[in-house]
Amino acid sequence: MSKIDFTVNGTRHVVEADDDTPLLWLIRDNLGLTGTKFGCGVGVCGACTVLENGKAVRACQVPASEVSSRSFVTIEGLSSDGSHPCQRAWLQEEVVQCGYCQAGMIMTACGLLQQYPNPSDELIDNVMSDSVCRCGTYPRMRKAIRRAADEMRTKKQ
Amino acid sequence: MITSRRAFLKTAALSGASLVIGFDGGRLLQAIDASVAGSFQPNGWVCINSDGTIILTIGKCEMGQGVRTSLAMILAEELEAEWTRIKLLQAKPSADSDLGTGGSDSMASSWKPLRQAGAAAREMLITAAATRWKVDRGSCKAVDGAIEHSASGRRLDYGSLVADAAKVQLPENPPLKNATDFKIIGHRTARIDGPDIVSGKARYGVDVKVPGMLYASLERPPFLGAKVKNLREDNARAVGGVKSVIKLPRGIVVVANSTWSAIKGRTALAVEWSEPPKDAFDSDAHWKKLQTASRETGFVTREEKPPSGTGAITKTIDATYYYPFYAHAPVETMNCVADVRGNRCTIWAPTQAPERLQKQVAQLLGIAPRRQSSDPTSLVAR
Repeated sequence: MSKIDFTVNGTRHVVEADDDTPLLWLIRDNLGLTGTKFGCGVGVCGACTVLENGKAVRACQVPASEVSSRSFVTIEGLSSDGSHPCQRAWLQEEVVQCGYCQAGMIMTACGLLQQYPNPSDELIDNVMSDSVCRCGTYPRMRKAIRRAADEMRTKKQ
Repeated sequence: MITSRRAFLKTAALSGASLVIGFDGGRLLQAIDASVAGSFQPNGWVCINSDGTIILTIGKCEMGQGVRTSLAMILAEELEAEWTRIKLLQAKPSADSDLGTGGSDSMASSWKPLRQAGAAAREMLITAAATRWKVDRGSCKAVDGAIEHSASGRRLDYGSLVADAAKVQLPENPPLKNATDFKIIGHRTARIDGPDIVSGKARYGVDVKVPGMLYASLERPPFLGAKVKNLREDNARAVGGVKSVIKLPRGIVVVANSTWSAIKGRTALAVEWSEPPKDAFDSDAHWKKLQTASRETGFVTREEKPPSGTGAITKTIDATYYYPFYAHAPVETMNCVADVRGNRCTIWAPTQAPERLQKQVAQLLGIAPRRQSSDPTSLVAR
């Protein structure tokens, strides 16, 4: 067991965990933030995606031994009131069905928009199809990402 | 045990300032009716509180089909309710209720009872307002969560009328709205649970935590009838946090004090399974069997004639559809939380059949799935 000292959603936490414990379980079990989901545990489904410096990271693939002094944002920390452009676009385009993958999808979309503020449909499809939505919400996610991108660019100008 | 019926009666008992209407497939009944206590065990009920909130308790499981939204829409339409005042609660199972969700029947089976319940409440609220104003009830109208008397410009919201409305005789056949007057049904309506989902607040089975709970991970055999050839039970037990390794008829469970320890322990088992027997189920062979069977003389399960006035056939489509054995593979892994204390067990599980689960677990633990109403124990599946 080691002491892991890290920041999630702006709050510093010190937890005790085995070095190989994935960040996902530190977030879910130690911190009790259950918005970040467990799907496959092997970095394939994207349900556990969180942000680090705006970049999408799969929390199940980051061992506790590498977590200290790093800072992450989970779906709970994206905004205090669901007002992030991606969250609002998700509602406006009525993306969700069962919703289980959607936190990871929104975080993935945020990571994409941070890097490419005006992504093509092709790029959106490439990035988003790397995460698994069994309901098949991909076409609506594409629309929502376009909408969020437009809004974020307009705001910046 | 908090059964549907008990929760219903409890709600009813507390409903001094609420209007509660229970319903199931064929019956519609007001909670405060004395006969309720004897026989009526509704699958769902509507409760309008004095603060104007409307609680729809219903046993249909949300699994992405939007059922919580669509059922609330039906109720809101007939009730002339403010859409935002409706809250949904998941009904808990009882031995006699029927809360299964499946066969795409939620809308079909809820359509009429929910409309009737909404319409009955609306009519009772109208009567309550008309009585208070001493006007003809025909001159009153339900609009956006209130009863209006346009001739005098008076308006009372539902919350202020529920105490009186609860004393009104429940109409047996309340008038239902004409489809042409629908303002919610047939119109785009945002998902009730959308905001919770996009903010990570929506709670799934896998998110349930009980203080001090243990975590289990289950290694399943790769095919029916597979036998364990080899496993490293000691390696699994040596993993920090692992509490026990339990062999089941179909799988091996590793129990630990954290999710990660359970997963690690399960990996450490390194189970080797037996080879499939020659006569094991084979998808290709099964497909061939179906193909052969499809060429034999069969029987008609359904035949539909074209409606009269349909023109002559111009195009015939001939197609074969093959539906293979697929793993359902939802992203949310199979999960369940059980809190067993003495002769009481509470289950949280994402399930379409809570009653079936309740019965099976009760049998397994030797607890009665439904005790006398004076003994609030046993199973609750959520």
